[in-house]
Amino acid sequence: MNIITKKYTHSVIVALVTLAALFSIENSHSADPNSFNRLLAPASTRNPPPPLDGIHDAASPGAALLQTPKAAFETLPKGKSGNYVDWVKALDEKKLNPRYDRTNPDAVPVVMDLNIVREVKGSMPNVVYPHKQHTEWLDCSNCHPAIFIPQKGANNISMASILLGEQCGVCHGKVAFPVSECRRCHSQPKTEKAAAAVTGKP
Amino acid sequence: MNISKSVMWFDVRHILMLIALLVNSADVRSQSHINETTVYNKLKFFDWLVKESPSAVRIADSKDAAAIALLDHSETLLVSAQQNYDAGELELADKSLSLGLKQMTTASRKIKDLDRVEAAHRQLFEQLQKHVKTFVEAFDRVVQEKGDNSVNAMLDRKRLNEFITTADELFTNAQFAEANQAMRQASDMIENSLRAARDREVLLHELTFGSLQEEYDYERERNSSYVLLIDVLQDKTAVSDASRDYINTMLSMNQKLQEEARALATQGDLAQAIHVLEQGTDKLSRALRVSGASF
Amino acid sequence: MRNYDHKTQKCDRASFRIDNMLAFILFVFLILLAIDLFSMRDARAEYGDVLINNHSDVAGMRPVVFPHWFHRIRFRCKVCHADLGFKFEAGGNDINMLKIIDGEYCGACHDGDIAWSVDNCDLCHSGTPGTPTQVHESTLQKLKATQATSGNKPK
Repeated sequence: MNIITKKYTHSVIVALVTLAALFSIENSHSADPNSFNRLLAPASTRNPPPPLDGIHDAASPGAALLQTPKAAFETLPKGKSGNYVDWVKALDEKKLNPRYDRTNPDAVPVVMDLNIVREVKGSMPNVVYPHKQHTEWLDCSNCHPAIFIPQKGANNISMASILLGEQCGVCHGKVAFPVSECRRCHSQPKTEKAAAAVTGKP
Repeated sequence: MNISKSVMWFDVRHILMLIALLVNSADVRSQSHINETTVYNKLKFFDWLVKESPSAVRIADSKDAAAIALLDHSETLLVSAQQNYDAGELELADKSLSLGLKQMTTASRKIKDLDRVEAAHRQLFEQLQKHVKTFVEAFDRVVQEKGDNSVNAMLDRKRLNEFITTADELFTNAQFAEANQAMRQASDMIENSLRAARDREVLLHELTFGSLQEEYDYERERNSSYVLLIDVLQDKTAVSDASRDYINTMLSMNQKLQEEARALATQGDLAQAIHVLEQGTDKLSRALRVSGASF
Repeated sequence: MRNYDHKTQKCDRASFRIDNMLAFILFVFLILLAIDLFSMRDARAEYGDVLINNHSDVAGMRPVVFPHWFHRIRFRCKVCHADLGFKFEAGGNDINMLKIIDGEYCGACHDGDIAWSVDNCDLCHSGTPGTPTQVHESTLQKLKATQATSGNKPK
């Protein structure tokens, strides 16, 4: 009788411990007050597979057949936002070779190498817009003249409009990396003198 | 009595476990099962496509024997698919439908919808025209800026104008595809010239305001974009309650300053309005830093 | 597990009860695991996925989910957005099955040659029914969400 009770309790304990572990995993990132990246959403929620990503219908026969993003991104350099892939780097390092022409896999893009530096108010570094990285992916007509007039002073660009999906925000914040990575655009630090000149403050 | 009871429990228990295991496999693939709803929807669509769609009408009216043959075969496939579906043979129905769809695709591409093609060509032509015009203007500005004949020599204007004129003529003669081709050549030419003229340059767009009103508008946009940024960043890095209180305090302080600035602006004191608004923006910068932006 | 005595053709009652208990616990555990796996608690769609629901709901099909990431790996932006005429606007192209079959928009590649053809309905039509057209995980979507919850409007 004693042996039987022992066996029974043992199994119940094992099952309960597993259940407890399961629930604690779910709540782990707020349970431990000193966990390393306490407030950051865990990396496991990034690039979910289609049936679990929140827009695909898990009951759809197609959702389970689709490739999971994680599988595709394995060989690509990691990024800090968006898809968590650095697409420009992937292209530079030749990890990718997307076609420039629909039917011709050997077509080479014609790249324009021109940097536009836009001064901004305050201590925020100036924005450097590089045509090179953009023309490797896009055609001139994609932006000119529909989104940006190719003339100095003709375009009023503000962070508000970018966040609301206009101008740079037509792509950045939707498909290209979102604006939460300030330094990727605001990359030309101002000299102290220049910063003071713009703000009028010492 | 004891045996029959034990047999019953055995079955129920193991069946329950099997069900539980099946439910758990997030890997359930329905590749081997053709979904009935899918086939039904496909059948409905294919029926419409073969009998009533503009594509079918176009193909039937055309003189292309190959296309008409494909359409006829598609009709046969539709009938057999319907029969298979009604009989419950989903896999066979799906096969017929898939083949039928592929055939209709081939057939309808043989007989182009001329109206739509023409509309697309017209739209493209207008776009290219505007594109070439804007870029030629941009090129002229570069020439003026540099005041250097070598830049001007990068563009063969005579040839460019020839392309444009040819394109316009072809367009008036309703030769849309050729017109677009010529216009594209013009576009490529001007793009190449601009590329060469500005190669590896760095252009600085300084921040200059023509008037106090401009500066005030700029500051207002800047202020509101900081508010938006705080919103966006709060999603990316979850903030603690204490930080959230701080951010909300900064936001409400900013709102008061915004109103004050607006009042000053209506009174006409733009300089002071800008100054007040800058203070608001300063508060928001602090809130932004707490939200996780490092700048 | 069960101590079945062939002679008496009976099971040992105690071990019989244990097996049932264990089975029950296991069953509960597995059901909970299933709920856990299938729950959509913090699910984030892949960045850049465009859900298009212009005509799908009306036609009784699931809305289309267009994955930008998959296509970016294979084509540069120019191919679709300059050569094929796709506008930079979710739902702004008014694509329908007829246009695709005729070779426009998606049909330019999904023709059985460059990519699989139109008979694979479920690979595209895999969205949750009733979802409005939008670009998932976009900044605009997030702003709308925070505005909805906080009731705050910028400016």
